[in-house]
Amino acid sequence: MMNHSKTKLFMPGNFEEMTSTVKYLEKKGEKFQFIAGGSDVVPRMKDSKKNQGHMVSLKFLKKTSSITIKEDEIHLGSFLSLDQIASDSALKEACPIIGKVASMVGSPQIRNQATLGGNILVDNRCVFFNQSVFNKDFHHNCFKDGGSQCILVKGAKANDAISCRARSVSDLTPALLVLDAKLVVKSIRGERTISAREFFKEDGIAKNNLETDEVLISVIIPRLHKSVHYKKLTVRKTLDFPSLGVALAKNEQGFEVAVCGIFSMPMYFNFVFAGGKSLSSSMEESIKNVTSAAPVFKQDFFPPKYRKEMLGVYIKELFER
Amino acid sequence: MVGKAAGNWRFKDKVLNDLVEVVTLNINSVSYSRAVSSLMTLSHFIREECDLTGTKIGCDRGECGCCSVLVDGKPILACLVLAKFVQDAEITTIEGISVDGQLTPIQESMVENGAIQCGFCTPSMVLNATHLLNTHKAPSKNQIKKCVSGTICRCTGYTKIEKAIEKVVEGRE
Amino acid sequence: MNTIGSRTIMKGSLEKVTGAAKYTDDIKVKNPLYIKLLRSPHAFAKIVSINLDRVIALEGVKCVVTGADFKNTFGVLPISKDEPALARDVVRYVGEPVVAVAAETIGLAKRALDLIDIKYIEKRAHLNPSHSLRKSEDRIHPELPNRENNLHKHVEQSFGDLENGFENSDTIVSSEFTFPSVTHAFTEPHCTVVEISGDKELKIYSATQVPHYVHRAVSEVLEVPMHKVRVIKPYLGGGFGGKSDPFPHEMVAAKVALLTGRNTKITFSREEVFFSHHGRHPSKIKMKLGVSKDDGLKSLEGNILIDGGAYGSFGVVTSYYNGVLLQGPYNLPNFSFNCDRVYTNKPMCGAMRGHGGVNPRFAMEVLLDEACTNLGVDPCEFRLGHFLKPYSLTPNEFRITSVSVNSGLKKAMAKSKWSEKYGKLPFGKGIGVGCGFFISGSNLPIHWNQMPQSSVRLTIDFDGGVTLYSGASDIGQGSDTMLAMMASEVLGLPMDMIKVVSADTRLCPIDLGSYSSRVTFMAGNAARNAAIRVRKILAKAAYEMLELKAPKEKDANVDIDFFKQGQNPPKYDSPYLGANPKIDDGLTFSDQKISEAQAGESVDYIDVVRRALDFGGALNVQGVYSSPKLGGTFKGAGAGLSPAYSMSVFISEVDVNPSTGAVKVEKVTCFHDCGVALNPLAVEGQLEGSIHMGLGQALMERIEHTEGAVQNASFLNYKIPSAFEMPEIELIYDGEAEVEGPFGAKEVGEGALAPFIPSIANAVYDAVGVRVRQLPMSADVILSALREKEGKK
Repeated sequence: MMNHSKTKLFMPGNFEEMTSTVKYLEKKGEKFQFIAGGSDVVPRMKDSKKNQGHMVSLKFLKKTSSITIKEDEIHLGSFLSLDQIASDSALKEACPIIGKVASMVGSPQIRNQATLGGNILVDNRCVFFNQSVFNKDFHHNCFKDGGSQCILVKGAKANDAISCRARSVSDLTPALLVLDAKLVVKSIRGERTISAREFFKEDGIAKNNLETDEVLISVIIPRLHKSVHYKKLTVRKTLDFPSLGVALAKNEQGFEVAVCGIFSMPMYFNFVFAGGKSLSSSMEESIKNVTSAAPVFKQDFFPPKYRKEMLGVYIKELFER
Repeated sequence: MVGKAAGNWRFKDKVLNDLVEVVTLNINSVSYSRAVSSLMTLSHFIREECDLTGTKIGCDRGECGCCSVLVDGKPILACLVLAKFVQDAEITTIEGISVDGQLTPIQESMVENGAIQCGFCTPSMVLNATHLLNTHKAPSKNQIKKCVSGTICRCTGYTKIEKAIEKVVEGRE
Repeated sequence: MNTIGSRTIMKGSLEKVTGAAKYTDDIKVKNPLYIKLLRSPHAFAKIVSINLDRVIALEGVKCVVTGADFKNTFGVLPISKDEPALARDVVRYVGEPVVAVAAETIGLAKRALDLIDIKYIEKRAHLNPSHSLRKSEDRIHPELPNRENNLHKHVEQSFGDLENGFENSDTIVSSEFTFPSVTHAFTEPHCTVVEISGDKELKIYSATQVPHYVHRAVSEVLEVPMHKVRVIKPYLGGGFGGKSDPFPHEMVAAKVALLTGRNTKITFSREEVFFSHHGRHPSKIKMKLGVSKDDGLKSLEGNILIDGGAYGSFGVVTSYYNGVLLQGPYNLPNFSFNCDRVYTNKPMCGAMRGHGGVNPRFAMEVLLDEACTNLGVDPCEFRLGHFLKPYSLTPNEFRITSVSVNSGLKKAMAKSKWSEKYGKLPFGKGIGVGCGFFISGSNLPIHWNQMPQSSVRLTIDFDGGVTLYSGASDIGQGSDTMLAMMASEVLGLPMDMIKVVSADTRLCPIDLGSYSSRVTFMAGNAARNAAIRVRKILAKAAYEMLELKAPKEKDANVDIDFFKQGQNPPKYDSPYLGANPKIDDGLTFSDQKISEAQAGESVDYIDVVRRALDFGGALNVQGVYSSPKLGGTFKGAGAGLSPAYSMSVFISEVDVNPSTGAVKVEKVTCFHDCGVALNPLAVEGQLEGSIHMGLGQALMERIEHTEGAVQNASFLNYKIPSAFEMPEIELIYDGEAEVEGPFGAKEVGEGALAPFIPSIANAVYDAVGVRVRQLPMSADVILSALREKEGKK
């Protein structure tokens, strides 16, 4: 009983064990979170003053996480490390962009431990939230940290449509949005498949449609044979999260584009160029649509104005590739 | 209970929010069982519980790369992994690289080519390079850069470290 | 030459490459108390009360100390000892240590911090350096006399006839430049471990560049005699100036040990390293340069404001260096500058690689490039012929000795194919030049005294092994290796026969530490002199064994007390500048043999040693170095004086993407005049490291503050270049021998950083035609400059 409130890492051996752990914790009313590679969760745990609750390991998914390439779909287990995805030659053949983007995340060591699932679910980041306890105390804590303010936008309210402007920084997500990937999630209540395009929420705290007891187990990418390109704005070619990430696929009618790094959710657009208009004016119009739809948040090395301008530059460049 | 860990048990239990439990890790082919926080990271386990201080902590949050260790042969950041999470793995730290005092080719090359200044990033550089050289017979310049890019070195500008790896590759031909 | 000039493996690298090297945090002492610091959450506030009741009651907390436990403040410079070990009555920056808790475990100490109640009354913080010059009723350091504002130090100097110089210039360029703060970002966080003995003697292991300053400060602050304190620097994970001050945590760890009788340990988190800072001063520089097409640089005028943060640190020196280091490498007859260092409520700034000289160098080199553009001359060709003359005096009476920068620039031009590229590359590609000038150690010691700046003791006993004892700190730059090379060369012994015991205040003679690029020149000369002294003893023994007569008088009279040359001012008109003692004993010491050429006979070194022991037991000598008497008699004449100056040339090639503004430095050709390169491996390492650090400041590094708090206190948000950002590097370091340098050597650790940065800016101008007057030159800055230029068209 002494240990009742002491937090612990649970290491369930399979899905059933995991569900019983989750049931047990829910029954006791204890907080918990899932942990896979740890590269996102562990620093946040260190930065938190409040008890983050128990950790429930998803390592058991490792056994079943594989790359399966079918005729019409590619199945990727969520526990695949980013390095596994980046270095798989069959995947490179079937859908090169996924491996390419995976190889652009973090650093080599991080790619060895960070997982596909972890990258898709990576917590939204803000320079005021992803700080030490000391610095958070200095700023008296923001909404995302259980406080009653947004440090970035003075006067923001908790019940605003977007209360938290922490940015979506998953490098893989824009490509998955363009590829129209499906996410398979599983819980005690069963399994469901959600379109990646409907998965994310517009708020830096709520961020997606995953329930607390649900686990992302795999990603299904339809083999549409799209040629997707990705470009990432960072200061350095290693370690940095995207200040802006743009994935784009050209098609006969226009192009599809998805963006991360600037807004509290990844954004997806499909532009069909109207007949009779010149390509360049269609492009201009599309870029205008994207930039006006995506308010670019501050709290990054590069100022919003610059990132907004780069959004247009990147779209053009990727379109012309 | 073993050594130092037992001495601090009383305080550990009082202070930690986390459960204290016995974690057993296989490091450099030695089994270490220690009573530690369930949420203790691997870097602290290695340094504090096993006294293997070659693994350095420069930031403790996955940014400097200095705490790299090999887990099942692959370099990862020990500050981002919970010790208990890797109980079934083979862990290699810098102390497990050279056997019987015999330097490996990359260690020798780093010494000879001036790839070491303050030495704080050196263990990580050695482990990352070891992995690269184990998995690639003739890594390209870009692969070498990539291998080095996961660790911050503030002294050398990386050039001599890259050169040390290149020299090992040249020596293979 | 036996060892000098050969690529010599660094001492300690075997320990480092196997993980065996013990850094401060790796040292285990018995049952230590772990210390955590409670830091100020306010930039400027009055401490009303500190309630420790709850924390003292916590089981396992052994000691809590506050500012009230320390009577004396401290600071690296005797003239600005304004820093308390723990804040008293007032906090002056976010992150300032206020209370220290020592507990049985780290976790307990951390948790105990939450139980401390401090009541503050917040005050209006002084965050803007310009505003700090305004009159204030609530100053950061009210104890400073004769002030109404937050000025820490005002310095000014003027030489020649400034107005006349401008009148005789063909073009006058002027501009304002702004620089944010950058930080050292060494990988090893600060750490101190204290071991206390039964009789209350303190053995302090600390990650410090200068054990001697820690020794002094601990003794003063804790009011314990110096002989009760011993400071040891174990292996050190990088310094770059950031570990050259004594630090509050060192005082605290020692104090807790004294109060409790227990061993103590304190290790910083990375964030705490950022709070502690001591990095490069943010600055605003207004500079005006007059250039004559035929006569070169005529007049330079600088108005400089540097933001010191909350405390003094090295700030007075920094203020001078911001001006005086501009006097080279060019001939500059008329020169004037003033510099204000102001206090603000931010983490303090101090010494960082290239100390004080980096930002003004950027301004000057960019202005010179602009002047060359105005005059329609090639900036490299123009510089040739306008460098300082060897063996001359500058207007402020710096004694210039060897100068190789003219030929160095020619070599760099040839290597980089400058003439084929400058002004001829396609839009977006550019090439630029910048030159620099730096000291080889400061002539003036911080603590004013006549003591030699460096002393090295050397012993040889029955086993023939040589042990050198030096107070200099090997901080990764390889000073232990350099010291051993001195003895190896003089005595003809392999490196592994020479052990170096360094940076331990009990075992080693005083050395003023590793900063201001002084170790090779000063400790190196001392080591060389020690080796020459012991060689005299060995030579006597060798002649006895060879039954030959030693050559007389002339050689016996060689004055090996090198420092004595300082007794008389050097003759500036003479090329002879004093004795770098010659080795002229008629013997050759090589490969562990001592031979006499004329007789063609030799004896084994080890036998000679054993014969020499008959004279009076173990051989025990000391070599010292004091710099010669230099400089003028005006106020501040001592600032920037050095026995020798390094000079450098950088030619950088860049690619600027005109649609994104991103700058990639593709190639850099560097000539650095370090005199004779004692160990090319170490010389290259220092230059490549300077290039890395310069690249960071040029393109991406900056400390960001929000309401005075460091907002990017992590390696994720403070951007240090990775391996991918590094350019291709071409190094040239074949300067002529420096007469007073040990085996002809000069400085290499710092000087190369400064000129690299403006060479990038000048290359950016060549590439896309925009002048950058701020750092870092990040993509957004370049792009908006491009847009502005387009708008003007």
